[in-house]
Amino acid sequence: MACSVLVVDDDPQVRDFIELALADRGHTVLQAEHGGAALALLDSMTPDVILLDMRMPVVDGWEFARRYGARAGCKAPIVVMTAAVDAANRAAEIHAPDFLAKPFDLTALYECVAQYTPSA
Amino acid sequence: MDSFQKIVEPQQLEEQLRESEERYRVSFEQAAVGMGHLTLEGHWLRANDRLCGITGYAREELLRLTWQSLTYPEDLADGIAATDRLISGEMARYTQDKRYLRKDGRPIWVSITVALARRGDGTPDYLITVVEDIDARKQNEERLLRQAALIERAHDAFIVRDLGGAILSWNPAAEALYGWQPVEAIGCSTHELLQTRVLDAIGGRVAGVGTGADTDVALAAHEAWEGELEHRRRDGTGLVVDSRQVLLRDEAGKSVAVLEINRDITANKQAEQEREMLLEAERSARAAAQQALHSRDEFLATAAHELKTPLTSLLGFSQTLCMLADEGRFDAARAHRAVYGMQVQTDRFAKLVDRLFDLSLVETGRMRLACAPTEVGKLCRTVVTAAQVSTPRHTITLAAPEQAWVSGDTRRLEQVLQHLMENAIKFSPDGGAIDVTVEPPDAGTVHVTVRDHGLGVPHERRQHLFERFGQAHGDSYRSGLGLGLYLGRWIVEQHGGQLLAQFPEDGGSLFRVILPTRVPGATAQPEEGRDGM
Repeated sequence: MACSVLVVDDDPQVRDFIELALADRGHTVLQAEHGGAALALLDSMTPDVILLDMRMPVVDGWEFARRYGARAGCKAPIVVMTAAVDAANRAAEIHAPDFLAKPFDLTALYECVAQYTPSA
Repeated sequence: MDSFQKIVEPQQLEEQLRESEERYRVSFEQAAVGMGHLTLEGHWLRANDRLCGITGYAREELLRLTWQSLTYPEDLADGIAATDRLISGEMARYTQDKRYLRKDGRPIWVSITVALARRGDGTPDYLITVVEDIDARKQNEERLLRQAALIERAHDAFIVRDLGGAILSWNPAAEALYGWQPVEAIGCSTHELLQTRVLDAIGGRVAGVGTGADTDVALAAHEAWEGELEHRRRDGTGLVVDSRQVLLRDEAGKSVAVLEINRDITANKQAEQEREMLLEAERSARAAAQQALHSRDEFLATAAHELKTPLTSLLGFSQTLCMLADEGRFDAARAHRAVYGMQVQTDRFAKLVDRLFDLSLVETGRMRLACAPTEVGKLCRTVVTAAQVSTPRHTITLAAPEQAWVSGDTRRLEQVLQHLMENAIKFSPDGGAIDVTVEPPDAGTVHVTVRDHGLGVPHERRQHLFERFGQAHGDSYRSGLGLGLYLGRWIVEQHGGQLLAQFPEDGGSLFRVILPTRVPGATAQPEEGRDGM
């Protein structure tokens, strides 16, 4: 019932709100402020889903997806979070199965995470 | 035998005479030129076929006429005078070019040679005339004369040069066009005298692509040449001519000279160039307008993106708070966390809106500065302290002298320094030192520098850094609205100062604000006029 979620976004308030909302539902939330930090975290764990912002400093969403995709082993699905007009395209660009168009509803966040929550 | 001889001899003589007369008659009749005999008064006695052909009369018609009635009236006086002198013995013969009037009324040019036949006693007997049809030659000469007159009066320069390039003929239009008189020009090399250069025939630009010698090569190969030449006048000024050149051949077909006909098209060329310049100006204006539209579209997309980001957490936090309250799990710690996040994002949102509003003030000329004595060190301290609170990863230092006063709009200058500080933090994502200095390098100015050790600005983007909507980094990097430096430079310049970007060799960026100093105690005077007040 609980889902482990990695949130990758350079905006600390976005990360914090997601953590507040998801932790309340019993999910585990890990935070990374850019793609590089996320890749470092992913060395030691595999979350159930990765919520990924695209425009970030140091290692952006595109570069993160490229490097993560090149890794061996089982990989977590990526949900793109973007304020871009063409959110669906952004997801397609990195072959992500899903997206959340910013600003998104709390309900949309819960529904999205529910999809990737392993069943008991 | 003697008597026989005496009888035979006259017979032979007569025979010989008859044969001689026959030969004369045949040669008279068959001659390729017109021949005739006339009385001293001018009546035709005999005329051969050719003479009949020339005059257009049948023989019996001609023999009823006189040479005087056959002669073109204008030429009659000369003929009579010459004939009188012939008959009086002053001349043995004379030759004249004159016109006959043919039977059909058309004048025909002839060359006549007239001699006098005398009797045995030496008295004048009759006139012998030989008539040659020179009508074709005369007409040709007349045509040539007419042509020569035309060339003299032509507006185009007619220049004939020999195959070595030396000028043989130079008409008045050539003199008017180039300023050289015929005596000066004739004998000179055209290419040297006029400094001929062949112009690019397609673009017509004044860039030499050949010399006069190239036209000679083309003429030898193709008989004729057409194109545009650049020439130089005697006074050194340049001109562009449309030139037509053709090889002239002698009767044997051997090429002997070149006729060059040049028309001044300098004015046309200039008009053409002006037209092209106007077109080019219009094209670039249109491109600039399109670029401006494109920039604006990009800006709107960026602005929408930038505004959506704080909205995401504002919406998220507020919905989370509602949910917690609805479900009875609301507690002070979580409420504080959410409200703090909302506050941060509201500030950020407000700042974005402020910047958009500032842009509209600047663009519409409505931004006003409220200048007052301002201590720059104190201003920097406020900005540095606030910035340091927001980022634990950066170490922000300030080196400022005790006091550095300027006349400035405190709020606007703070806005500029805040923005420089935000950039320094944003573009040094790995943290590090950010050094702020305030120094008066001379009595007249105060310099504030903000130095980071971060990403710097790529070379290709430095040029546009201070432009409206300019971005220091590409699309993948969150770079804000692209207004901060544009507004910053505008504000600093309104203070009579400068905002400069420098890129130290060991990386990072250094932004330098230069403001004119103000002596403490002097009356505060807003920089009037600079902002259109």
